[in-house]
Amino acid sequence: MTFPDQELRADVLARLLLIQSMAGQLPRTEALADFVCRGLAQVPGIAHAWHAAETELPVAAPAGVERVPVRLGAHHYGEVVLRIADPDRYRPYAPYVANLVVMLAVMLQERGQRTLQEAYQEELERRVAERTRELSEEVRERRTAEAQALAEKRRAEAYLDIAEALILELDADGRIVVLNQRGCDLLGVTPDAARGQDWFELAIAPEERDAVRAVFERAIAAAENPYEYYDSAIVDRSGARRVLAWHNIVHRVDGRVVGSLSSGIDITARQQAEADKRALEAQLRDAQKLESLGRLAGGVAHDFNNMLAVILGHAELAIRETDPDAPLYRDLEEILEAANRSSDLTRQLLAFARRQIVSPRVLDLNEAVGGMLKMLRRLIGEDIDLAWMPGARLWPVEMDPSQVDQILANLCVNARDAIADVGKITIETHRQVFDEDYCAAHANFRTGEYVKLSVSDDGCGMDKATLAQIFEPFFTTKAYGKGTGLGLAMVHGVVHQNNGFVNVYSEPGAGTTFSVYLPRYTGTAERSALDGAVEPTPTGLETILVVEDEPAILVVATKMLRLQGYTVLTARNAAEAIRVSNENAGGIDLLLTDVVMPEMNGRDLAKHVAPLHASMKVLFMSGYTANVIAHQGVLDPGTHFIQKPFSVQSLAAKVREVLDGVDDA
Amino acid sequence: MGTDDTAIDLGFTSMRVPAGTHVCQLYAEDDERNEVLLRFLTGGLRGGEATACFSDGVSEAELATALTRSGLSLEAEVAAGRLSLASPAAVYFEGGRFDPERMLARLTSFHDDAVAAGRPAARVIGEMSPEIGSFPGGSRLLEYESRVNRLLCTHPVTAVCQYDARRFDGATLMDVLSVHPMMIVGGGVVYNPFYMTPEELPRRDLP
Repeated sequence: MTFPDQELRADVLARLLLIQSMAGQLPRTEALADFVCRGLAQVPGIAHAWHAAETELPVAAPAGVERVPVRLGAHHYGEVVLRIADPDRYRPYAPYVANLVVMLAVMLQERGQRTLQEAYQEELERRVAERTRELSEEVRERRTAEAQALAEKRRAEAYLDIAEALILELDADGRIVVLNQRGCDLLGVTPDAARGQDWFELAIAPEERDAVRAVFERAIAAAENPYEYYDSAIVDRSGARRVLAWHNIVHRVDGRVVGSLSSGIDITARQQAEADKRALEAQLRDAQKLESLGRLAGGVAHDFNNMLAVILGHAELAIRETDPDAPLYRDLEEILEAANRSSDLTRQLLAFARRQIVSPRVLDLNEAVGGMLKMLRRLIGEDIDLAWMPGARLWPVEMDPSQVDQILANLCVNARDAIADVGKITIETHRQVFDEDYCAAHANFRTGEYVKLSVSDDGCGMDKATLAQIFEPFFTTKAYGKGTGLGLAMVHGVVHQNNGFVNVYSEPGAGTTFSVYLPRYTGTAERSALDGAVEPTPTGLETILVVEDEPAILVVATKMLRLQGYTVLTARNAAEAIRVSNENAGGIDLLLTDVVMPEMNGRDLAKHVAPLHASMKVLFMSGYTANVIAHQGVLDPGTHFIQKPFSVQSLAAKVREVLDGVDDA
Repeated sequence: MGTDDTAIDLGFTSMRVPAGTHVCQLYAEDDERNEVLLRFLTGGLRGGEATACFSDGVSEAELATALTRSGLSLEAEVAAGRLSLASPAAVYFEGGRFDPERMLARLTSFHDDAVAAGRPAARVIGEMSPEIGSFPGGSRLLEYESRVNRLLCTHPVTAVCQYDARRFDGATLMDVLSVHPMMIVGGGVVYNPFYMTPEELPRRDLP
C-alpha cells in the first residue's frame, strides 16, 4: 500500500477498516449508512458526514462540501455528503473514504439483493404456502365433493333400484349404459352383464326390432325426440311379451347428444285388465241385449199365446161339433195344425230366450229332438248338413222339454260356428251305462244308466286351454258380437240341474263332440203317455173358478171345461174373482187363474181367496210368466201350471190331475 | 482480587484480558449473543468470580443447562452468592428511569462485595435495551458508559455490554463503539479504534 501523505495515521486507517468490517455485520440496511457516516465524521479533516437520498441533493455542492456518490454500476444509493473542515488533513484519507463508500454501495446492493431475494423467497414461500393451502383446500373440497358425489351416486342407485319403473340409459349407438334393477329383473340379466349390450338385441322382439331401433336412431340423429311418450313391448326373461309405457328424452352432455334416457312402466297387466274389462263390458252388453230380447220375446209370446189359445180353443171346440166328413172339418183341422205349429214356434222362441217355465216331466229324448229338427236346420243354415241318428230303445228321462231345446239350440249354434263354411253336424242319442271301473278311469263320469245326447261337428276343434274354459260364464272364442259366452254355461247348468253331466272331446282341426248324459228315468208315472196311447178326455163335476183378463180366452176355457162336465164360474179380473169367491164360499174346488193380470197377479189372488175354500186347488195358466210363480224359471214346489195355448185334452188332463192330486199345498 | 493484568478468562476467547476491561458486543443474531453470554458467565463461575447477569437473552433453564455441562449448578451458584441474576429492566430502569449514578453505585457495591467475599474477581454482563431513549435519563447512556470506564480503573469489574445491532440505529451503534475500549469482532476481542477516553469524548446527546 502506498501512503499518499505522511500525515496518514494508522489508527484512522484502522477505524476505516473497522467501519467496513462492522458495517458488514449490521443487519439493518437503513442503519448501515448512518453507521458509516458517523464513523467518517471521525476521519481527520471531516467535520460532518451524512447520507442523502439522490433526490434531496442540491444541483451544485457548496464550497467545503464533497459529494461521494454511493453507486455500483447502474445502481444508485444516494450520496455520502462530507463537510470538509480541513481539506489538507482530509486529503490523504480521501481515497480510503471513497473506497469505503464504494464498499457501502456494495453492501447496500448486496442487502438490496438479499432483501429482494428474501422478499422473493418470502413471496415464493407465501405463494407456495398459499398454493399448498389452495391445493389442500381443493383436495379437501374435491374429496368432499367426491364423497358427496359418491353418496349422491349411491342414493341415486338406490332410487334406481327401488324404482318400479324400468330405468334405461343408452349411448348413441343404442348400447346400455345404465339399466336399473327392475330392468335387470325383467330381462333376467345382471347390471354388469347388461352394460354395453345392444338394447334392441337384448330386449326387443325380432319382428319389432328394426322399427324401434329406427325410432331411436331418428331421435339421436335429429337431437330431438318426437316419441317422448309412447308404448312399446319388450321380451322378458321368460320370453313373454311385456308392454311398457315409455318416457324418453335425448341425453345431452355439453350440448352434444350422447344417447337417451328412458323410463318405462310395465303396463301389461293394466292393458290386460283393461282388455278384460272391455270384453266383460261387451259381454255384459250382449247379456243385456239377450235379456232385452228375452223380455221382448216373452212379451210377444204372452199376447201371441193368448191369441193362439183362443184360436186353438175355438177350433177344437168347433171341430168337436163338426161332422168329420163335412168340408168344414178339414178346414178346422188345418186351423188346428197351423195353430199348434205356431204354438211350437212360440215355445222354442221362449226356450231360446230362456223365458220358459221349467216344468220337468218324463219324456222321450228322441221325440224331443225330432220335434226340434226343423228349427235347428233353420238355425244352422243350408251349408251345413244336419244328421239325426236317434238311438234305439232309448230310456226315458225327466226334464223340461224346453231345456232339451235349450241344450240342442246352444250346442248346434256352437257346432255351426266351429264350421268355417260347409260341414256336418251330427245329433245322436244312445243308452249308456258307466260302471265304477269306467268312472275310475274317466274323470267327470259318474256311475249309472244314462241317456246320451251328443252333438258332433267336423269344424275347427279346440285346444286344451280353450277346453278348460268353455263352460265358464262369458268365456267365448267367437268374434265380438257373435257370442255371449253364456250358451255352454247354460247347457252345463241345465244338465247338472237334471243330475246329468257333460263331456267334451275335441282336437284342433278335427272337430268337437259334446256329449250330454242325462240319468235314466226309472219311474212309471207317465210311461203310458210315452207309449203314445190315447187317453180319454178326463171329465168331472167339480166347481171351477176361471179368472182371465183376456175375454176370448175366458170364453174358450169356460167352454172347454163345461164340455167336460164342470161347473164353471168366471171372473175377468181379481176383484171380480174375489167377489165371486165370496159369493160361493166353500163351494169352489179349483181356481184356474191367469198369472199376469193388472192390479193383482194370480198368485196373490190365490192367497187371497184360499181361506174361504179350504179344499180349493189352484192351477195357473200363462203364455209367459215372470217370477211370480217360479224362481229362476223353476216352479215353486206344489205349484201347478199349464202353458197357454192348450188343447181341450191337455187342459182337461191337467185339471183332473190337480183335482185328483193329494193336497200338496 | 487478582493483580495480574491478563488474569481474566472471558470464556468465549482464548485471549485473556486485564480485570476491569470494558467490552462491547454488537450482535446481529441471538445465537451470537447467547454464545458470548453463556461462555462469559460460565468462565466467571468456573474461576470463582462474583458474577452478575442483567439479560433476558437466555432463560434460567438454558443457563442451568449450560452450567451443568460445565459441572456447575445454577441453584448452588445463586445460593452461594456467586451468581446474581436480574432483568435489564429491573436494573437499568429501576423506578422507571435510567440513573447513571445509581448504576455506578451498584457497580461499585458489586465490586466491593466481591472483594469482601474474597472473590478472585468480579464480572458482569448486561444487555442495554433500545427503549432506553424513551426513559428519563436515557440520553445519558454515553455519559454512563464513559464514566464506567473511569470507575473500572478503581473498581476493576470486567464488563461486557451487549447491543442488538438489529434494533439500534447506525449512529448510536457508532457512538456506543466510541465508549468501549475493546470490542468483539468476528468472535474475537480487539481494541476499538473508535474508542475515546472520557476526556476525549465530546458530550453528545443520543439521537
